[in-house]
Amino acid sequence: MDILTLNEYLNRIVYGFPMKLVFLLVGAYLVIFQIRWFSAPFRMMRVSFSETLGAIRERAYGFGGQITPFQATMVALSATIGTGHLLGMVAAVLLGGPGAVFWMWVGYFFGTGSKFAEATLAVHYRRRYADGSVSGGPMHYLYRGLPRLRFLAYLFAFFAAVAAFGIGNLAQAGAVGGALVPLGAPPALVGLLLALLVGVVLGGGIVWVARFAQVVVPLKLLLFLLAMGPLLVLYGGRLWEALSLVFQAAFSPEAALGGAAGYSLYAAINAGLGRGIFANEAGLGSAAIAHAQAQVDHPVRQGFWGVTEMFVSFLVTSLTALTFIASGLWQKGGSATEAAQALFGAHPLGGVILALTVAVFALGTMVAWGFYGEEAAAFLFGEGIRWPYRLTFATLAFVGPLGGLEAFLAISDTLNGLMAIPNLLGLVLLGGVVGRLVYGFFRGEPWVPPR
Amino acid sequence: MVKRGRMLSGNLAEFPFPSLVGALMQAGRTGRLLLHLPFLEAEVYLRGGQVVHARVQAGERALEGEEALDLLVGLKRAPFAFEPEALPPHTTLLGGLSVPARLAEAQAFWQGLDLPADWGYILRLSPGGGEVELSPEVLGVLAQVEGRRIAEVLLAPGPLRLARVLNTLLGMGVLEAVPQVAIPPTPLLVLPIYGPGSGVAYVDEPLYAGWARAIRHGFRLRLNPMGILMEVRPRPNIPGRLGLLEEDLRRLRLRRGDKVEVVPEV
Repeated sequence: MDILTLNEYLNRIVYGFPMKLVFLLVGAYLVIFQIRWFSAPFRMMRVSFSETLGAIRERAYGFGGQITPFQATMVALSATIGTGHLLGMVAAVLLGGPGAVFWMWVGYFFGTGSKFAEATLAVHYRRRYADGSVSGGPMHYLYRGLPRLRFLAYLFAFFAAVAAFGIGNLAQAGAVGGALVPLGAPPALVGLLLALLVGVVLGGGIVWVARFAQVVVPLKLLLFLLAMGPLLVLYGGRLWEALSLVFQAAFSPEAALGGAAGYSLYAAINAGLGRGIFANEAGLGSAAIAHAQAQVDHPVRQGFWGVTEMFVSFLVTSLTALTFIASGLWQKGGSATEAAQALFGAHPLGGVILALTVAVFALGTMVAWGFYGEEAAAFLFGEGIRWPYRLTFATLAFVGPLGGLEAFLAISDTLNGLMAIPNLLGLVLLGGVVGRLVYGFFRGEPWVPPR
Repeated sequence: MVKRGRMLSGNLAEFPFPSLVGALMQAGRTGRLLLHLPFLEAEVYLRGGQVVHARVQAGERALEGEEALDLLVGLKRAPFAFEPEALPPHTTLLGGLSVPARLAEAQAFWQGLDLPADWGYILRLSPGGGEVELSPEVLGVLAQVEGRRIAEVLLAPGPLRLARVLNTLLGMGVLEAVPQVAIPPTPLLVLPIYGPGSGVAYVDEPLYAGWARAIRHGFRLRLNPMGILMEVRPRPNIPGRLGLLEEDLRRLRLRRGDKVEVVPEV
């Protein structure tokens, strides 16, 4: 078996249906038994909003650290809201039909448990250095929280450090190139600008990454609204119909969609859960690296920011999906790119707005993933690896728009999926810690960091 | 006690006044013993080992002679310095053996009292209610002490009698002695603390420690502009924040991120 065949085999496992069910079960376990959303759902919802949206006006006030909880969430969102929210969502509806959206929401709901636990554990087990900087993420909570299973921490860090080069860099740079080259931008120039931008931002450490994210995430949302606004006006009358179709097709797509061929319940669940899990990265553990940087008095506060990250991601994917369903273009089939181009063909700015949105989405993802990869590499090889990693990352950002390196991209895609295995195992084994932290938080107890 | 050049200096906390004066007398010294506190100044002159003049002043009030000595014996903390060869402006004490005897008598008297060591503390009526029966003499003192420092109250004719009355009033809980602090208001952002209970405000540990060092007494926190007084406790990792329990947030109509000015009050 050659390496590519092995990669293909592993890829099918890590992105396969059983693995999606594992994601769902881990999220459900955390939501129901550890975080206990349902013990006081309205209070939890109120606290969740108070801790996040209610705290936005104090976004500039940290708790004495390098970046504020708001900025940490912006870094996480910068990575999370990527092209998967547009093209990936369109692809999911094409594959699973409108019912896939319902299953995506199920994935999102239980994913809040995983994301909450990741952000909470990331802050709880992070390492603080003498210069005031911190490092955290799954590799740290696996290492410090599960001392007998430290190999899981090394596995996660290895997967993340390599996956960041491919899925977090080459694929994103390729997407930026793919969006801008048709508008007349030379691929080499796009690559050069990307390399410079990524190199400079990553070179400034988490403070610059956070500042960049603080600009790029609102820009992403603004572009998304500019892109979706006219389409929502155009198809607004059919949104209720689309919503009703989502629920009808969720359980019996064959009956709900009439003559639409090829849509089954399995396809809806498989495609929907895929989006509900991989679009928001809940369970992958990547966003935890950003959340660990936030200076908060209690890890559970950052856990609520993790839920907000999910909420923003949920709004973007849901609006994309509902608009696409309302347009009726999903019935025509074809590739995700063709369907997206057809959808945005009705926009006054045409494909330009789609290209710009995709480019900015990919750019934000790239920078945040650069930071994730760097943190993972620093965990494996020490602080000395940071600059070599940044330079390699910037070099690959230049290569991305030029194309090539498909085999490496395929392998990194698998490694990206493999990140979830040690992380999900860690979330289950450390679920009790999350439960105790949540209990203490709601008893007014101060946080006692582990020694 | 240290000798700097020819100057002798130290603090009464380490070298009590009667022992200090006794040592200077035994050494047959001539000069001026100066005691200096922000709210009180005292000088004791010796000539050839004899105490010939003593004076204590606080604000516009002053005591001289034996009463000044009586008062100084009760002073538990004050930096002092001895300037050799300084001569008294006039004589208020006869010297001889009567001074050590008077000092010993006063020392025994002060040991029977339990007045605060810091005479800069302000006296005020205790907030707690309750009825007490007071003699006319005690009432007369009580009528004059509100808002004044212990040192100022004692600096009147009959300091030992006044000290005994004050000791009685403080012991009965009619009066309380509190430090005078002037800590500027600190602006903080409201941070919800989710948990049971109410009436407690949390501030960052270093801020609390700074206040505690400056006040050296139990204190509460006044929240402005509401003017509410709350119990205050330290909490780790909340710089720039004022932690308030949910019930208090509802009661005070405050939300996360609201700006509040806080002042510690004794």
